[in-house]
Amino acid sequence: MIEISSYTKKFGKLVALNQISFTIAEGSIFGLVGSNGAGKSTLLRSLCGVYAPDGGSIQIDGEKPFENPKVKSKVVFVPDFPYYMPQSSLRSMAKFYQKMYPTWSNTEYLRLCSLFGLNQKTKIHNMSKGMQRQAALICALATMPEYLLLDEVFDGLDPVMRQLLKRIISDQVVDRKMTVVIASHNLRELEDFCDHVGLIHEGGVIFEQELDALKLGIHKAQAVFQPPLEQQQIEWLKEQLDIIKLETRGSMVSLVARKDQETVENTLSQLEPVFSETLPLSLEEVFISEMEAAGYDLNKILS
Amino acid sequence: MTSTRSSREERKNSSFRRVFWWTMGYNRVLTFFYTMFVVGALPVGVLLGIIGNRDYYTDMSNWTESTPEEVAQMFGDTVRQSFNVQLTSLVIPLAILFLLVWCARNFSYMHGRRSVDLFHALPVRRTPLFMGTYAAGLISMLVPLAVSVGLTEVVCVTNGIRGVAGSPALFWQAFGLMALTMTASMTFTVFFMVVSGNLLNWFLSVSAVALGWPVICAIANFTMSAFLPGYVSVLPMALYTALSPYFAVYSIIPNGIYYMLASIQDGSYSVEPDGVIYNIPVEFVIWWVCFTLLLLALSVFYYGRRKSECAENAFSFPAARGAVRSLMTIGGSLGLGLVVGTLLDNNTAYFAGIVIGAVVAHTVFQVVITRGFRRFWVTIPAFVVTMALIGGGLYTLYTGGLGYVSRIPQAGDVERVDFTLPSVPGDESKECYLAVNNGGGITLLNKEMEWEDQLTPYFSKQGDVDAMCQFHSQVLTKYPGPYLPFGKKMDYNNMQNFTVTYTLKDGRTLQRDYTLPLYQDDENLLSALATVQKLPTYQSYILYYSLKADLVLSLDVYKYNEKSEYSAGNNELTAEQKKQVWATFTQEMNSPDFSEPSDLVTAEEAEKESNAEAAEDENGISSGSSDSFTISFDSIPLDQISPEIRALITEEYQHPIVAVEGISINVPQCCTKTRKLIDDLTKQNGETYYYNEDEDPADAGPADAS
Repeated sequence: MIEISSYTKKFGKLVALNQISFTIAEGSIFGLVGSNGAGKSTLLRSLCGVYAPDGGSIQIDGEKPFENPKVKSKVVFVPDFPYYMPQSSLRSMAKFYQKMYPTWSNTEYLRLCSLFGLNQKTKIHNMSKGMQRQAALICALATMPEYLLLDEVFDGLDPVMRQLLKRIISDQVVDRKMTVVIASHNLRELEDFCDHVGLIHEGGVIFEQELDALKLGIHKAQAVFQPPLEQQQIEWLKEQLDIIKLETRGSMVSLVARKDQETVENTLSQLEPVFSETLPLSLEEVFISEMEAAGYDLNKILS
Repeated sequence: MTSTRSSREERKNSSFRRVFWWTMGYNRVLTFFYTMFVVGALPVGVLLGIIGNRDYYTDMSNWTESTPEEVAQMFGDTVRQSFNVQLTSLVIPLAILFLLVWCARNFSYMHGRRSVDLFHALPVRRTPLFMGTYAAGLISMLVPLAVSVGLTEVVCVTNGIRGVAGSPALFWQAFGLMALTMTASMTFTVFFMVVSGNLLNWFLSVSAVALGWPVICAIANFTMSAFLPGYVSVLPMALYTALSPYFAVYSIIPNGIYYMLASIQDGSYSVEPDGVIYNIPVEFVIWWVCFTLLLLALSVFYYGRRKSECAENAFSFPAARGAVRSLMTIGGSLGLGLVVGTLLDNNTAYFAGIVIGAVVAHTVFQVVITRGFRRFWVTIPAFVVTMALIGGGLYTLYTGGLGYVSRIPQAGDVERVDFTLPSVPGDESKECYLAVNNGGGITLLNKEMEWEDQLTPYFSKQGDVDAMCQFHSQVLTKYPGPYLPFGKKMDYNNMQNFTVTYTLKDGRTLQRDYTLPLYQDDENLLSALATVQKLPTYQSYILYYSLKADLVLSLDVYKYNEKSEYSAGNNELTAEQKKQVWATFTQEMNSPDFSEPSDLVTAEEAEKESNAEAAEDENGISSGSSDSFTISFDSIPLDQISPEIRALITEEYQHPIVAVEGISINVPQCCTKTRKLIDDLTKQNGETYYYNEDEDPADAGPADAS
């Protein structure tokens, strides 16, 4: 289990992570989402002991990862741009991992090589971006980690490889109770893969929840009212539905609310709409809504 | 049993071992090529030296008077020279290149954000990660060197050369010293890896300190010499390499750096370092051991605290950046000051150069390491502190270097004082004609070693020391202060040298070396000088009193005027002629009428002369010079010279000295009879050279003098 408690990481005057706290359960696949520069990669680097904390603590199975080989031997990190020694091949990188990680499994390594279909002797710098990422994943997974930290891992992988990767990881989560923390912008990829998700924004955690609960607990609705709602009615709606976002265009009201579908529908029906429709949000929509609620102005960025 | 096996297993799997063996394997190709080059350079080079010289030394026994042992010794010396040539020209540069490449290849991971992600996420603590890599580097660098030296020893032994230059352990001594200084070099290089944030800044820092430090020492020495009258370098040579281990590697071979540079300049390896490997003082070994241990400890300490996020920054520790920048600022400041001051011979220009040099060096360094002016203003306080240090140092020199200029020991504290006095011709000091030594010393001949050297006379009696201190204090009146480095009016026509070394009773020494103008109106100074020259101890050093007629060897005349020069000599004097010359000369020298007009001028006259000379120089007319009449003598056997000089020789030299030679006396102008006699005795061998052939009566270069 990963316990993050009031963890702070600073780069000079910049506070990259500001007193964040949450827990990642053993055997879960935790999706870490957030805007650019939110601190996702910083958190992953802190989890694998690359960064020392500037405040608070991170504990993996009750121990701090920084300068702790015992913990670090259970954790493997695949960064967004994996590093390979100059002129190295997959085989030579595997030898490096084998030397450094006592838990290395050669059987698993050969199995993964065969699954991904990579030539072990090819120089890695001659490989495509996707193949380089596959090489990093093969080495990482062959160390038989208890904790797998992945940063933007789906970038550069073709759809077949994405599915293969998801299947391999899911199998290991099931078989070995491996815990996966995966940071990504590709929310659609995470949606059908993660069981938990955490949103980081400007160094703080906006929310951290089970994905199903998150998706069931937030809904968007569109309703048409004749005559249009008055301000008093809108305020009433806000009170009832814990609204994240609300827009009115003439007689039409669009809203995103942190409530289950039934509550949203019942509340709207009390105002007797001409038409109403309530839908669950995709993870991407949840992300955008929560970001907007946190003051992240998408229009400003897109303009 | 189980626990033993378990602990063995644990050791085998220790982080250090894992890192070490992986690094060794990772660098095997690089190490292989390095080994091939080093092994090729040293044993093969020495073998070629042996093959090339074997026939010469084998035949030598047929024509030389030297014993077989001496021939073997000479052959050994030649082999040793081959060894030194290979070492300085190939092996050491290769080893330094290897360590730079090795460090860049294996430690640069801490300078890349991506590589840091990989290495710092490994289940290995920082210390074994660092030490495992460091140890692999050392082994990769030193083992090929040891193999190379071992093979060289084998090559020598199998070719019948045992104990090169009388020391069977010479090669291993060289290896030991090289291993020590190369280890220091690697530690130094790795230390800068840890404290710098990227590879370029690492390279700049290493270069700045390794190359900059000796240059800064030289500039500092030159600055002190420019400011302080009488300054004798107080910087030991070891200080020049103290922070520059790459140069320290070369200092184990006599003239190592010089020959390395010469070989680069010539593009050949034909120059041969001479002498055996220095008898390296124990302080050298202690310093480099401490240097290595300290830097290694600091490297481990800093690496443990180095933040991974420092990768690709300028430096990982601001203190290191500040230290290197200050070093560069001081060097640039003093360096530009000296260049400008020397070119313009002006103190204002010098101090302007100091300020401009500091600003330029500081700015350039900061811009280069940060690739722009980012946060430049943050460095201004550090610049101000550095300028204050430079200013404080220069002010100290301006006011006499904390009493350096005015310091003369109490006569009672002095055990002995070695000296070379100004040579002042004139009535009051005719001793200068008599103490006919070379450059103030006494030339000795050691026939056994065919070796010459000079000795400096000294005083140890209290009264003599008193007189010397008095004279020294009179010399100081010439330098009232404050002291500035440039714009000094140098009257080269009237310059005299005075060197003095006091050995104090507490074992310390105080040494000064003055080049000072002497004028007739320096009455107190001349009087103090005459007092010293009249001391019985001083007189006892005068070789004139040991000379006899039968030692006269030859006579020489040299006359010069604006149109021609005339020279004549006679080295085939009869016994009668020698007696005649010596009798005439001693009679005139000892005559109460001896009166040699002093060639000292007053300060005012010197000024006029100087101006006149400048005018002459401008018109292309050079000033004339006086004629000279010289009597040269054969070497004086040691048993015929004064006990004081003998004591001086015995005290200084262990080798048996058999004679003092190189004596010649310049006959003063007032010894007219002697001059006339020399002229007569040399006339038949005289030749006149004309500068302009049109003026030569015989229209031929040399002509008989009339």
